[in-house]
Amino acid sequence: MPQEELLAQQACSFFLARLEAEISRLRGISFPGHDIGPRRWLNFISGVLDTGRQYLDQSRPPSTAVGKAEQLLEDAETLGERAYVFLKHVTGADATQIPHEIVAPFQRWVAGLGITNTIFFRSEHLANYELWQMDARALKNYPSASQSLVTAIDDINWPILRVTVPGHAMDMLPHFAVVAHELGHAIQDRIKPDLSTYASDRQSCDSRIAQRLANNGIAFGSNERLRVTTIFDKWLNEIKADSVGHFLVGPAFFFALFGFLELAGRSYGIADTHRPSDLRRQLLLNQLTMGSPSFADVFRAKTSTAITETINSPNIPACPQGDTLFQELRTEYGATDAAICTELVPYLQTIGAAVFTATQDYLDRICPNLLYSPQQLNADLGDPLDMLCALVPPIEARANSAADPEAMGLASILNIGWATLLTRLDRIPDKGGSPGRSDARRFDQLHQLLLKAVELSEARLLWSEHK
Amino acid sequence: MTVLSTEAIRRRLRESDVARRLVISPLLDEDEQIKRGQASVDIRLGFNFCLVTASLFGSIDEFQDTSTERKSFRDLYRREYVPFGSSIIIHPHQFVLAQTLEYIRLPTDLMAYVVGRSTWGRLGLIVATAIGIHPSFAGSLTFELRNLGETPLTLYPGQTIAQLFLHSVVDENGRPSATTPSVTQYVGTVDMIPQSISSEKTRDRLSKLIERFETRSKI
Repeated sequence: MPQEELLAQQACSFFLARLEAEISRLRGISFPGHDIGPRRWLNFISGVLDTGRQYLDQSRPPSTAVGKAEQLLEDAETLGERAYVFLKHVTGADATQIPHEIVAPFQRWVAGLGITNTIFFRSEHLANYELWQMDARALKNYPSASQSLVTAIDDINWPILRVTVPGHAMDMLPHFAVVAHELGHAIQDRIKPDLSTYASDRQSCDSRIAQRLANNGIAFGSNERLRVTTIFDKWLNEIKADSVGHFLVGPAFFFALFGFLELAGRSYGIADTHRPSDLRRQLLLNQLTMGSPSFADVFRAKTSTAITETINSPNIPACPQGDTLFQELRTEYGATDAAICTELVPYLQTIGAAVFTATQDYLDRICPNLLYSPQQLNADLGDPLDMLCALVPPIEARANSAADPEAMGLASILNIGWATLLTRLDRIPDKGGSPGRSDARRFDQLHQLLLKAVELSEARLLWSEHK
Repeated sequence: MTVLSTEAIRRRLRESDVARRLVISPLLDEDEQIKRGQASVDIRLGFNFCLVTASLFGSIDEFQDTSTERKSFRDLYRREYVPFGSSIIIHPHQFVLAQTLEYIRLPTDLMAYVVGRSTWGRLGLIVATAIGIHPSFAGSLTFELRNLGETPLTLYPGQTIAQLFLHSVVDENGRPSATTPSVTQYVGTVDMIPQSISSEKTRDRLSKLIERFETRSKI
């Protein structure tokens, strides 16, 4: 074997050893909520490395022909490189990076929604909530895949899911209601709205797209039609995910999503992946005002505060419509996407309510107990809200003085938290002592109390489940 | 001074008036933690621990550098979260901060004493040194655990570790006290790490005295 190949073998061996050491270190840390997702992912990466190590060992002369040895070495290097990339996905999943209290309640949402995929939660220093998925089952077909890789792949329910939340400086507990939206993406394919009654709206939408394209010298051909389908599907999935967030968390989802976008997305929010933020807001607000009593009715009755469109997101701009929107989008995305997005906006607004209905029907069937209701909001914004203002976290509640206390659900905690934040923050005492404005210290105090509520309500649930 | 019986404690836990309600939450097993005929509430070990680590600080001196005071307190500890089913070992002579599993809020007319359970004491575990809890306290209680025995002790979150004795507080006319205390660093606290040693007023006065002393020493 040439000297260069020997040196490359040594380097590869060192690389694989470093990766193994990193996995060993990660196995020693605690993942919040006793989450098995990250550990399964580490087992999978370890299996990839074992396979790489096998290739490397086989590439050593004299037992292997030179050409074959070179190929084996290259394959080992490739597996090392892939393992390095795979490791990146688990960054931020440990208990020091993501509030450990919140993960177990998230896992209850996951289980309640019937999501059986292996999943883990991690934080990243980005203003972003995201569901990422990956299917690496194909690695099982690698020639001579190690037994550890085969076992690890079999242990994972693919595709593996990873939910990303913002890093420490942005991990304000009330905003975590947005995670319900991300979990909605995990079940979006199961929600099937009947849009047949909107066929003529769709036809007229397509005609308007064709007209805009024609005005710009573009034919409405198969590529353009495919693009319409692609963008429509993404936008539809966003409505589905919003609707899951709404039905799981109620007003807290509305406050969280637009509170988050107010901090980190003060633009139209329109792209080939997302509908305009203000139109998402309108649709969600409509849902909050539906029914009798509606969420908005209860919120107003309990807090003397009306839920308005801009209650905590005054700086999200209204998205223009028609020609103005088209002109603005054309500069950034080109005429085709601009025409499609511009004309899909009114169509998606038209079908929005039907998507929410389909989601409600689906969730009613699979997890009726997980749905947050105005009646629950009414109970939550009574005694528990008063108690939080008296610095008692909403850990558990009694239906009456004779009843045993029951653990608060995450949705209840988030709604009580938002009601306090938006209407009663001044009642949370400012303890002083730390730098910054008084309202920031009150918010921090509220954040800490809500985290405690999440931690201890989960403790009560676990205790009662293990009689 | 009147000590509340368990029956009185149960009544105060169910008090409809938020201001008068005693909160000890969650009581995972009320009958086991508030036993009939006794006068205390058993409280459990929580999930959060602070282990004292070696630090770069020569001493804890609140007058050395007030701007970094809070940082230095934080740097003295390593945090560990121990979930249900897991455990933490406290070695002989080791000092560890721990929390109650329960969140506690005392109304204005109750105060409490925390006393370690004698079973743990006989095994060498000292549970708390700051045992008095003032009216209107709200938060998780911090235990200052020290293993004075010669054998490591394995502690599990959820174990009952101490008892809370509740006393009524009366005003000068013998009526239940309704005085709301000024806000302190330990109201609504869920963190074990102290924020400051002295009150602002005491610190200010002592700072001036230190300055006076140092000035005179240089003459």
